[in-house]
Amino acid sequence: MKPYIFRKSGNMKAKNYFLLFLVLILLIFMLSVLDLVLGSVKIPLKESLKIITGHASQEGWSYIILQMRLPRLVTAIMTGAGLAVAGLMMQTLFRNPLAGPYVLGISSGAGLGVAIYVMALDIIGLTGIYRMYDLGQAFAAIVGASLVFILILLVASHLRDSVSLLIVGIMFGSLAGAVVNILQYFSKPDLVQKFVIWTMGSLSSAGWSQIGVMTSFVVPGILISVLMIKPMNALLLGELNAEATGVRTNVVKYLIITSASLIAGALTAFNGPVAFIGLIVPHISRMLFNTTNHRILLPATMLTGIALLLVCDIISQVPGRTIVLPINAITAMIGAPVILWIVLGNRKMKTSF
Amino acid sequence: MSLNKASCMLSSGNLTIGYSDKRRTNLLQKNLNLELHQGTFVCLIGPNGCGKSTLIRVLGGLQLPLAGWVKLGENEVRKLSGQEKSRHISMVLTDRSSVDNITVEEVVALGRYGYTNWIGRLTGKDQQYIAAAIEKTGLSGFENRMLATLSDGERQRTFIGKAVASNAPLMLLDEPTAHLDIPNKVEIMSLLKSLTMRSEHTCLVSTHDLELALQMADMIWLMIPGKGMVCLTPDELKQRNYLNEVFGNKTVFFNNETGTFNLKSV
Repeated sequence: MKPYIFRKSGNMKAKNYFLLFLVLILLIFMLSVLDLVLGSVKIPLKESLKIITGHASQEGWSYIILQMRLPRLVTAIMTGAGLAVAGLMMQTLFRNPLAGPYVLGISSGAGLGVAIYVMALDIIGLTGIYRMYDLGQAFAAIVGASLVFILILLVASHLRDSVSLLIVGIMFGSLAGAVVNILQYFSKPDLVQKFVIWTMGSLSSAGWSQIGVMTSFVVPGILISVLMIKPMNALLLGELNAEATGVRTNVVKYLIITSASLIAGALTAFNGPVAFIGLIVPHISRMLFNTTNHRILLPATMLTGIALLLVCDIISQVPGRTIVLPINAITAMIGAPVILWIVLGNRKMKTSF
Repeated sequence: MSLNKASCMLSSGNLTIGYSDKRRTNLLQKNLNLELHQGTFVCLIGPNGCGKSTLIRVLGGLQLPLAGWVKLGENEVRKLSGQEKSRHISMVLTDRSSVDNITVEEVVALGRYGYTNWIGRLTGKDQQYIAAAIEKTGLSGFENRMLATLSDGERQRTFIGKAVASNAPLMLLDEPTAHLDIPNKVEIMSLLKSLTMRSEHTCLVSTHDLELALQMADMIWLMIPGKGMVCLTPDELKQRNYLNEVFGNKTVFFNNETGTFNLKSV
């Protein structure tokens, strides 16, 4: 009797993977060009390409491309890749399809870090530290993110099901939000406004110097995640099985926390919280590549994350208009239906992971 | 019992197992002096909650003993590195928290964890071990099936396949026959027995299938709640009527002649 095959998978050949990667890379390239060309100021494609390749053009256009659109593109690429990888690591660590830096309150933790840094320093009148402003903001966000992550990990060891973990994450997020509200109450109006705009999320607030700071945290974070590929594959069998397979699970756990907090913290510090990318991209990659093997999934997740965030960024620019919508709203509008589709669709959460 | 020092694979001395936290200590067994001999098929039996799973975890180095030592050959298990442990001891656990969206072949391939490089690249030699393990465990044709689509028996064979692929001389299995129907139970036990017959592996299997264990095991480790362990051959165990003392109660008794449990006539 022929065995009933519930879901065809795992039989994808290396050639198919290669093709998919190639398609993704081409897509990212096209989206990058679109992202550079589209915007409130109309700059012809030819001129844009000329400017990027180092040729002189109209000064105003050069400024817009090199100092505004290119940093935004680089930020979007780093954010898409970083948040997606952070989400993948968290889903594997918790073996929970609903885990992600935003849902589990890691972004809120980073937000709290930034809020305390920006507002509390102002309240007690410590302004001298502003010389190291960007670096300090990144550190504050990373500390906030890792604190929440460690708290969740402590609680998660007592919880087995997805829903409880999710509720705990939301509660930590709310707690962090409440503390931020209290801080806001005592802050100057201009700082409050600054923070509110920050919470909407924006890929265009980081200039080249901030991108430098971001890179110095995100790249080490991603390098750690690459080293975690092998242990993460074993972690798919559960913590005890992984330990029996030869994984030092305690070490791996803390490396994953470090990596995800570096990435999510540094990115959130400058872009504000960007919802859903970390949650949905690993699912999209698993469906596209039909595998849970992190050797394929990690690069796949990075590329899918970049592509998706570029799409969101292009939408947020509202091509042809002068307005820019908050990126956080766009990612949520795309992300929430995807999650609903995963939950309600015939593929159950349990088997999609 | 005469003990051949050279063939002793795993040994323990004054081993005390259980759980302890700040508030209280739950002592399961104390002063266990055990010896597991190379190439033997040993079944660990005992009533629920006497500490079988804990013993398996302690022997495999997943959990620290409260006191005493466990040695693999000449080396203390707790001092082995992750890689050394994965090369010498393979374990099949009752933990079911695995994701379902992983193929049989990928699970079996994880048995090579202790041998692959930093990114887990499988060499030709690794592939040979994986293919052999899949064949030995009767999983041919199942390579690309997802764990979610397997029956309990097939799933159990997959995890045994992972242990076989590691080629670790010592296999520790925690209730591999739980939740299986009788043909599957027999199949799993014969599979494990055949692995030890070829002297490639030494198996310690905890199980509740006493009748099967008595028929197949070279040695029975009978754990008596709070009173330590009796290590005897199945025949010796029957002769001394140990099973009745441990498992017998008002309604059931162990028939030493047929090797089965029977109901007492009311």
